[in-house]
Amino acid sequence: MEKKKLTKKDIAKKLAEFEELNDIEPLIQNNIIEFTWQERNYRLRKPTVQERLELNQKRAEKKIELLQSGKYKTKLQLIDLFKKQGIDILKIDEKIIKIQKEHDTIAEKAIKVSDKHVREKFRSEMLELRAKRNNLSIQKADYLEGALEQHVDEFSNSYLLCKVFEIKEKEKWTNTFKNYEELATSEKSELIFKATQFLTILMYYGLQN
Amino acid sequence: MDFKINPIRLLAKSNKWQTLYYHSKENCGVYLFDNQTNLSELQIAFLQWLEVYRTLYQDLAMGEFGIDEDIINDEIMADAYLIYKQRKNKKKKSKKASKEGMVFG
Repeated sequence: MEKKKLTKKDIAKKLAEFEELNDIEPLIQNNIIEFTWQERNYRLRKPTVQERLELNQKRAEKKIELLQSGKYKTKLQLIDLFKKQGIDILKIDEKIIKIQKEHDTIAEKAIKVSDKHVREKFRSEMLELRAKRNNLSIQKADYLEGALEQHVDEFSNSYLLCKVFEIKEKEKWTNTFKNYEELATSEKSELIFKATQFLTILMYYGLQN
Repeated sequence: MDFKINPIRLLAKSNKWQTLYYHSKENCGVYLFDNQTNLSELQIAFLQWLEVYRTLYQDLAMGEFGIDEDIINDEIMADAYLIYKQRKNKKKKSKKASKEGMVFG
């Protein structure tokens, strides 16, 4: 059988995948990821039970604070607001469910069929439907952007990052940022972005995939 | 259409992790993670994918209809096979339930 020749783009894509795998495997094994950024060693670890409890408390406090400020609308309030303007956000969910059913019917056909070309056609249709479904999810998230819950999540992630993101100094691990304020005003946006990515995978991966 | 491979599934499917998973299930003193309790969401998701791929490899070994190496190695088609299997089992169950209904109803 003739093997497809790999282009430079293909190789780069594969390498990127393996880089990601190398990053993720230790994270799965011990809930700790170490990495280097601008010749300094950093690590991110899973929060302890105590830290999680503390986080829940802080989240609740932040939610009340934002509610009392009257500046933010909850997701439900935003849904109501858009409905009054003729945009039914809940209809997006219905569309997603319909697309999923259509996808599953094609999936079943794709397995039952033996002709490779027909199977490939079904596979492409499934990919298209997945893209449609993802676009609708993005559309819904766009409508709900800025909701109070989103601000609570952002605060919560930053708060947690302060606790679990460490830097190696004189062979000892210490917090990279002393407190939430230091992180919020830091100009090391690239470093924070990288750490946030790992934290998201560690804390929320299972909930999203 | 571009499709991004899920690195967790790629690991869960690998020979190395399937072997570790098998031995950990057989209580051979093999542990998958450094921590035995208080698993992270990532570890729980990884365990779920290990089990999914274990059943896929098992179905392949049993010669089940609709599965081959290509299906296992293609995330879209592996998902399709899981949907097909789920629907087949559902149909089987409802057939069985209606049969029992005819006997006892």
